[in-house]
Amino acid sequence: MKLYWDNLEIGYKLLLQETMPITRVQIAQFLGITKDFSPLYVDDDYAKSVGFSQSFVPNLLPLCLLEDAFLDCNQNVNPISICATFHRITRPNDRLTGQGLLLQHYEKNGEYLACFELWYQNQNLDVVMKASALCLLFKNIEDERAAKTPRPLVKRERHKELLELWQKAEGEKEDLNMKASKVLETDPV
Amino acid sequence: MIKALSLIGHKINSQNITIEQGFLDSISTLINHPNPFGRQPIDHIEETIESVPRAFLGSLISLPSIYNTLGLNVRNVLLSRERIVSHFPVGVRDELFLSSFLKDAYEQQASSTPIGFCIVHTFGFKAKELAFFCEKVLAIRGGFERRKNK
Repeated sequence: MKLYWDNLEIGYKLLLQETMPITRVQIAQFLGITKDFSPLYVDDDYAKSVGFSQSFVPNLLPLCLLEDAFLDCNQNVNPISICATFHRITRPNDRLTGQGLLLQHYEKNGEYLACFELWYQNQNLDVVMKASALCLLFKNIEDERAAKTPRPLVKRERHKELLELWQKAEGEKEDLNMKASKVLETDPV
Repeated sequence: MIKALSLIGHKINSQNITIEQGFLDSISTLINHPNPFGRQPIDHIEETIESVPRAFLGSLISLPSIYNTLGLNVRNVLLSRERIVSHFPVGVRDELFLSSFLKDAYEQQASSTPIGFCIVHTFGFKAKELAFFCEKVLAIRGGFERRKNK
């Protein structure tokens, strides 16, 4: 399905495809990819010994499945920012059902943006994770044809904001180094 | 002394990586075929994905090395929040320069035991262009490990 900014209204609902039960093989594959080998995800005995009922699914895996389901559902949308919080543990063999809601849509610096609230529920209807996704959209089908790209691209203005964040992080590091060198100057080891 | 607290604001990891086709194939298998080694044969192979899913961008940096630098025990670390800002897709043969900073670290008292939080910012550059940013909030069960001052 394709989404266009002109056709959106606040409150627009998305129904995402239900996942297959998450298998232990999938968990092992995921850990292999991320190299985040915690026994909490594979060792039932260890998980029980520290207060969980069994081992569980790494939180990032449902986010990955959510992103895939969202993009399957909206093929010409470019999610430029996703923020996810994890509310409950997902267990092996859980089936997750995703839904979404359009919270706002606006135009800024020539970009057409939409903010979706997305969430995954397990088979007991417990919300396991919530995410907000800020997406770039084509204004309409003519806009898409003119762009000649499958998804809208980020404009320079937006990219500057990201660069400022990087410069701030680098600046903080340099400030700390300056402070450290001053301490060393006044109080040589 | 808590190691993570002394590293707030500092760069905690940086590395160069190249995205290989096998990496994308593994992710594709994970998403499309939940159990490729199961009893049911896979009747069709779907096309592999073309770019790294956004959810994986923050995990391209070596997490074990970050845990090690921050003095965290992997057994106690849970992911509490993940934020990804991605401006350019990352695909096969892309060479990335990744850089991680510890933005903040603090401890909160839960009902009985403390929980530590570490906020890690990762920036990913592709051909000298900033391609993505990721913020991970790691929750550390039991709080930070204290080390005796020598």
